Amino acid sequence: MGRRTIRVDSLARVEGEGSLHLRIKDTQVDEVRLEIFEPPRFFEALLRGRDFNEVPDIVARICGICPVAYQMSAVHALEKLLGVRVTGSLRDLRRLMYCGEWIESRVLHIYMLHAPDFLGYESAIEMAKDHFGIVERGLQLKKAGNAVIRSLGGREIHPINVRVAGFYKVPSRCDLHSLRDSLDWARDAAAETVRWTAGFECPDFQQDYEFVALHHGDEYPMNEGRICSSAGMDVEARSYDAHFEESQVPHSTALHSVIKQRGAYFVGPLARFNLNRDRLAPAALELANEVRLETSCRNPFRSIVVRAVEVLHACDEALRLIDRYELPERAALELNPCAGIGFACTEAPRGILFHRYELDEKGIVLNAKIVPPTSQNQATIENDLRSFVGSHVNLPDDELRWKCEQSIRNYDPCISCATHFLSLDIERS
Amino acid sequence: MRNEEQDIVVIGLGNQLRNDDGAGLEVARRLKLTLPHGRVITECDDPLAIIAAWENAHTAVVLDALRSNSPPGSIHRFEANEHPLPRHFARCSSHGQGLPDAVELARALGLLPRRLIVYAIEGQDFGKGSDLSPAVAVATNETVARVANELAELRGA
Repeated sequence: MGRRTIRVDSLARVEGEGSLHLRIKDTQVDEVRLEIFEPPRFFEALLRGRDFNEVPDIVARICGICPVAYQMSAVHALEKLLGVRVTGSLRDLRRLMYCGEWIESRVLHIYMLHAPDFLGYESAIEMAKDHFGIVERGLQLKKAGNAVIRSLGGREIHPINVRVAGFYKVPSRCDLHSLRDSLDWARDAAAETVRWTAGFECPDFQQDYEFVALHHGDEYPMNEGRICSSAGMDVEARSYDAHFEESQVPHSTALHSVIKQRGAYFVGPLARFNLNRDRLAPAALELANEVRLETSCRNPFRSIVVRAVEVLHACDEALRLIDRYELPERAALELNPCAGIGFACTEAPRGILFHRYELDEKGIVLNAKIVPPTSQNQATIENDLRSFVGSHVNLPDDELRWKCEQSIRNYDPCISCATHFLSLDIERS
Repeated sequence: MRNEEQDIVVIGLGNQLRNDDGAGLEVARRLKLTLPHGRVITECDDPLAIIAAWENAHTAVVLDALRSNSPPGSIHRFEANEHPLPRHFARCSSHGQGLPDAVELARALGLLPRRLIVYAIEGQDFGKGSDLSPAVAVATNETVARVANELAELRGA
């Protein structure tokens, strides 16, 4: 068989910049490299020497899609360090803000980035020409999520109202109730989204993963919980470094994360769902059952359905939190800086997001470590591609390329967070 | 009463940390000073945000930078309602999506403003930094004047 090289300048519909290189010898996959060549962004380094109060606004700049996640992991880690626990309405407001981000981020990926793969369109623009009403529904849904973030964060991208131990300003009951109508509409639209995505044809591709997600005693995890896995891990965020390690690989400016002695693992909606299904809002769980989402779903192509279920969950959770909201006495608790190390993990839309900070006695950041979900999934994405291409090697190049891109998008990779984009290179010999 | 200032929106796009890519933002910022009550938006990170930015406006004026092998500082003007934007608008963003996608998505969904005018300044240096190239800096002055005139005509129309 002659040598064949296929090159695509850009793989669209992912966040950030990187490339995929596949080398196929006869019918065997010889090499898979998810190459991330975005220059390092040095956020951890530029946090050093800054006052702890500046951290939430600096880390929000890591991502325009999931800034709330960065803010949440940061404030929780710093509050652990400073010995403060945010409860009651302030805790609810954080969870509500996270619901807004889950909705807008999930919906962007489902409608604009991933659904075109399943329906055979090059882009959401092409899809919109045939599915006008559906794409419009997606845009409206995303707006509902954005409205929640704007209401609590001051603006939807890089919000400016989150601080360690609370908020700068809290909304009135009236402010929050004004979100009700759009969220009521959004929950119905989310249910339609679940049914719509559940009808997509998925490749038969079951893999044996170790799923890792937070697990909380009585709620679907967002801000709090222990780090648990399908292989029995059950640890606190402070033990993260004892169980996970990051390593540099030559082809990527993002670090690869593995579980020590075990290797690649899988974070994100599928992991969260598999480990926390019984914590879903009743309507979301009912719909997951209705569309026959497996109890332990191991097909990453089904992640689009899980994302839709999580949108419905986030809508219902947001409505529940709004209905019970009481104006807190203070927008933020009092704080006294002290030296120490704090850790936290929260559930970003794409999976667990670990932060660790070390402060001196004046509250100045000495060290920071941030492990985003995409770098944690990078090794699993490569494993999926190796396995998927191995069993579909006879597909024509164009189709194989498309399926590879779709496989990558199963993870909604935010390469900008992990450091940034994708061109695709398939080499056959 | 119809608020004419609100019916026209000016949208600046670009990245001010990538030198000439910030030309559209610079023009928008300066226009904002001359339009104290007008809608001038400079925080659009993705196509959906661009579409949201011109919601409810009958006319949108979008300001951007581009690279099309014209001499640096060339000022391009497009009426986007009838035709897609030229291909060389695409792929300037590291996220691979931008104004042309927003325009075509909005066209497919019937969400284009009645009139969409795009001014784009040919950039020269898209490297890291916050400085406009001399030719681009001159072009921003001219673009501010041209857009201000056009807005005055639109209001008078």
